[in-house]
Amino acid sequence: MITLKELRLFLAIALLLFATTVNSAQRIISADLGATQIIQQLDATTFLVAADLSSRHLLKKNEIANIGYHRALSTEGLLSLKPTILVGSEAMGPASTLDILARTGTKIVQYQTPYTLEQLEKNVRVISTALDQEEHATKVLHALSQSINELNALSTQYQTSLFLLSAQGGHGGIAGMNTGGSAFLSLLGLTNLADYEGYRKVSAEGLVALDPDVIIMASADNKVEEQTESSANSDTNSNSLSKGVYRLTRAAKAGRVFTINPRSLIAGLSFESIEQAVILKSALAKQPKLSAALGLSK
Amino acid sequence: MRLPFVSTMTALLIGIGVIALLSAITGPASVSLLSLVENAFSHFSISDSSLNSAAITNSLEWIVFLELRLPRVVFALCIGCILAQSGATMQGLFRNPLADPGIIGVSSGAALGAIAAIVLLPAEWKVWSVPLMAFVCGLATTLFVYTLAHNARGTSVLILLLAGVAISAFSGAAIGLMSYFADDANLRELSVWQMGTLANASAQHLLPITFFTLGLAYVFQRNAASLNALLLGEPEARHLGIDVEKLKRHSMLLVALGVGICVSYSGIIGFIGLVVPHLVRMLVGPDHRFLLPLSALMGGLLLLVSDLIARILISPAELPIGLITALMGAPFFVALLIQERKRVS
Repeated sequence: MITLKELRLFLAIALLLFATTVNSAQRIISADLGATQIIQQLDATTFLVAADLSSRHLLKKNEIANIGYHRALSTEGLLSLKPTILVGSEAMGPASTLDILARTGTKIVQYQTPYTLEQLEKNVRVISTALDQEEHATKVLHALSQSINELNALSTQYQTSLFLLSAQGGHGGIAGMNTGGSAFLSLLGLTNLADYEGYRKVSAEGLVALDPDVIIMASADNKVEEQTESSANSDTNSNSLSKGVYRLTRAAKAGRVFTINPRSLIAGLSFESIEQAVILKSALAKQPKLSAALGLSK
Repeated sequence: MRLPFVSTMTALLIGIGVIALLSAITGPASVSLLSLVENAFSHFSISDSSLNSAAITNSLEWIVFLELRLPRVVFALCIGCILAQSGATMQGLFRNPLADPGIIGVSSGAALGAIAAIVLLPAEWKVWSVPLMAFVCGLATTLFVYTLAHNARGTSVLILLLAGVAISAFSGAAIGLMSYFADDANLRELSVWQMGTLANASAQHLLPITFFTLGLAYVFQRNAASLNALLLGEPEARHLGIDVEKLKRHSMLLVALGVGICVSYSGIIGFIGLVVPHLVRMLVGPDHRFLLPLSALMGGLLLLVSDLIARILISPAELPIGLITALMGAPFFVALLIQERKRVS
């Protein structure tokens, strides 16, 4: 005869076992910042067991394992984490690692880095299906669609632009085609004057010759800065574009040099970069000169 | 004090055995040796049942041991052997303790070829184009440098070294230019490749690399007596009946072949070719009959230890092995130089 105490104990053990089974059903490794952001939006971070270097700032650093650089994944390192799903962009590799993981039963979910909003939506669908989070995906896609509508409703008088990587005393490269920077300019409805592939260093003289209407800088300073004609000549202005020959650009003269958080574009377009684009585009739509703080800092 | 050859060789072989075993059973994934043996036994006893056999060979432990750790152990040993022997040969050939395969531009030529394949050729060709281009460009560089330095009176060591410097500078500039025009993906890939890695070690290439290493070691060893004679100087070596020109040509081709293969498999791994022969020379003296085989063993051992560190230090991620060898080799080399300065003064 089973006593009530024994029955309670049995039920507690059964519940514990059940809970453990459910929680450990999925062991996800994210090998891309974009994937980690989507997993966060889908409210599935509890299933994450590891993430790549670029995702670390989004997660509590010591909570999950660090798998390093997504192009040089360690096969054995990943296998030791016993993942059920590995999510990452087309850049993750090497191929031999993915092949062995697939052979040991890990589901590999790969997608294209999103340089368009359509691709970002597609990635949300692909990842949510793989994670069985379609319900959450509907909400995420709805919110995304609202942001896109908000962005499309805005229009600016400016047409040309350049996206610069910030560097001490100048710029660390200008974004050409198929880059996160160029994708961000497209979100703002601006034409990228740099028509080459990837990031390249352009001389100060070349930048002045291109003379864009608007300049966007990716900087760790993470602030939107005002560049007015008067401040451009100020020695105290920390923005490197206010000094030297850069101040001759139309954008610098009119105070249309803005700084955004570069992390929002590491993995192509993201929810954060769309948020920044909405704020920036609405400011551009209202007036040519911005106030110093637009609230883009995180 | 110099150590006896046999004792040193025995110690190195035991060291390799211990570290190889440690490497085979250590790593981020938990692998039980007992379970592996059981799996292997089952695999052979049920070889008629293809379904069960496939299940075993796809098991995690089997894959980790046979497809990941074993190839890395063998590759580390082979590449370490080749690089150290190449370094010892170059140092003997040029009678210059700073000589290594990089000094006549072999390594930079091979690197230029591999990076050209990464940046300029279609991505789907990379599996074969990177190793092939590394090997071909390494060999072409060697032949070019040799042709430049060779004249009717023989081969000028000075011109060889200067040509090596020029080739390295040219390769550096060409690599920089390709990096500038490379797209984001290629740029990141070649950065990883330049840091050296054994992650590409695969079970399919185990036999070719093993036979190649053994063959190369045999041919290097055949030149040992001639390299000893060359230590006395070129005229003295000629008087002793050594065909110095043939020895130079032969040795450089062997080094180009060896380094080309190593670079194509593992990217750029520095300091093994420079430091290991020094270390062995300190232990057993400059006699190439002993220096070459012991350098091979110590090179293998050093790369094996480096690989183990690279795999477990930031597990589950992995450090590029070239960084480990440089971090270990550079301070060691500086210590050697300080010791040498004290000795001279």
